[in-house]
Amino acid sequence: MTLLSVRDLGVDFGGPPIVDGVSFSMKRGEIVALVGESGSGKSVASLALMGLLGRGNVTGSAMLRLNDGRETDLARISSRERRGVLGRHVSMIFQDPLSSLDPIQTIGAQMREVLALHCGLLGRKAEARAVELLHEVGIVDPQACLKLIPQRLSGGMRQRVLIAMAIAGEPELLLADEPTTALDVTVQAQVLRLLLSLRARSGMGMIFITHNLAVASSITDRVIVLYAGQVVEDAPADAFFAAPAMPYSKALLGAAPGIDSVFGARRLPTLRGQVPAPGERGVGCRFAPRCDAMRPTPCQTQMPDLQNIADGENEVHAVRCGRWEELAR
Amino acid sequence: MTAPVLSVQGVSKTYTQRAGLFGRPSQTYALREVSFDLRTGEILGLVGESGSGKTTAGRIAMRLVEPSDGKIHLAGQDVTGLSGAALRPMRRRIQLIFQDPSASLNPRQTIRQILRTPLRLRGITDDAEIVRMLAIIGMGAEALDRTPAMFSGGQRQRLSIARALLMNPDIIVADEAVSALDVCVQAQVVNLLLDLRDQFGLSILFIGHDLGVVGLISDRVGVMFRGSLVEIAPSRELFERPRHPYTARLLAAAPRQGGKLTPHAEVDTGRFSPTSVEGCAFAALCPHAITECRTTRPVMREIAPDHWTACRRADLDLRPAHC
Repeated sequence: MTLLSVRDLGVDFGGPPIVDGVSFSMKRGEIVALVGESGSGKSVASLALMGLLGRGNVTGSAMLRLNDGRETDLARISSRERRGVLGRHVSMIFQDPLSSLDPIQTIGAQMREVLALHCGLLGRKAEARAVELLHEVGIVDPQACLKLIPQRLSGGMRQRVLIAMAIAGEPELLLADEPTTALDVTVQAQVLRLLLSLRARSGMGMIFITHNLAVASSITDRVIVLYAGQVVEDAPADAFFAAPAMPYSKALLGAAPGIDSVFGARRLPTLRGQVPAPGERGVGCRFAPRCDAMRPTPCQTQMPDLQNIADGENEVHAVRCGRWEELAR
Repeated sequence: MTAPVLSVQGVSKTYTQRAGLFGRPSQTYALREVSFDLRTGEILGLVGESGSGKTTAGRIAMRLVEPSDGKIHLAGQDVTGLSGAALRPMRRRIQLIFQDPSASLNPRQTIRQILRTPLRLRGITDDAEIVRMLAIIGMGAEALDRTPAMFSGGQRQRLSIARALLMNPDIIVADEAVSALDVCVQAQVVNLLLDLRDQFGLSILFIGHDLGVVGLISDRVGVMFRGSLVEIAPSRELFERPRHPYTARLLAAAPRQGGKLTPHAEVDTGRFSPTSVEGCAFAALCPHAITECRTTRPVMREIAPDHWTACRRADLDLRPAHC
């Protein structure tokens, strides 16, 4: 069943669009990775979904189907309606847990506020629920943790506390923006496992924003690659890592060294140039200037459509490349 | 085997802590009896988690932090006790590249001013050297009159590499030098460092937390855990045949392209017992620890050619399961 259906989402700040006609949909309980370089639009797109942009024009729609069957358009709702949705139905966690927590309030005080706002829990009930939530995210001594200020916790513990707050309202959708980038690898693996077990328990869907494809691979069901504001590939994780179709996806995978294959003073394949600025995009494929497989026609003359190349009828493997068929041979 | 250009021998760094105003002072080890050689023309990687001492090790090698104990030799000369004027010519031979190039380049200066500083220290007033260096890092002379804000993150990191190279150093210490960059840009800077090593015979101490990047660029890799160097070996050997349980744990935790994690109700205390002074630093977390591990501090030994480990349990087979 569809949880979120994003159609033609666009964001601009008065100039050329930063996010340009982004469409994708996700099922209940699905974990979708949004990947791309700096400037690809992945963070702006997710902030637009959360209504956290502050300024800028958002176009298109993002229909979220709630557990009770109601639908709400995240791209359009008023800030008043949004307050009823954020925290309860959609939550977010960020890269740096320390800047998301108040440094001078105890974890307990901050959790009570969340529980009062989103769940209407007060006093002993709030306390009990806070302990339960901290326990759920793997904090061994929740009572002691509630009395501490964020400074006293390690990075991994802080991210767990934030996750506990984010899931307090039992949201249908969690947006996680680089949630493990600031963490050490062993802690990162623990937090990723925690997110997986929360999904298994509650059926919460997740949009996982990252630039790290290996992290994306560890937990996602589907990978959506953004480039210069557009979706350029949208594929099931297995198909994506086995056989990416878009030359840009191949370049991204090739540029990240894996720990199983390459060691010892080896050079990496690189991409020349950089993501074009919003004002410097040509009429053709936006990746064409950096693409080794580029042909003047159609690549420079016509913007390729995002087309579904999956074999099965109900599957989605979409790619935006005018030459994907030739390149696949 | 080539002679080491930098040799760190038995270096420790302790900080004294006091529990409260009248508490008894206690010693905390930031580094504990760390020894390694950086060979001429070699790229030596140092990996470890936050607080493992990898940055302190790099700073001590540069004499930016004073060791509490141990010796540092630069090109055969003991530089441990040097200070002031005697240290200055040594400083030029070892240069640092930082993680965040926007914080390490003065935003008010033009690239010309930034790159002139190292030349002035060498007594050169000619800009020709600057232009030549810009060409090496893949930039044109038009960059000279711009300020750092006009460049992308990758270009800024190239510029800070150029600034370090203009001192004509023998050694570069790169502390998380590519960690803040996008994958494609990261690959370009890694390739640049490899080219520069080949071109100038530089030796590079490459400090990082991304095992993939460190393993890729380095000839040898050292693994640090809570102030101790626990294993050091040629990259491929270390990744394919780790001989210390902590190295094996790090490798197992690293995410892989095409790999999948399983949900797992792992309970992590988030708190470690304080590092035991007598025993192995990893003993409290080690699934293979025996009584001796908790009571006697392990020493580094060569378990295979050029492969050193500080684990006494040589009988373990720690090869990653997927190999």
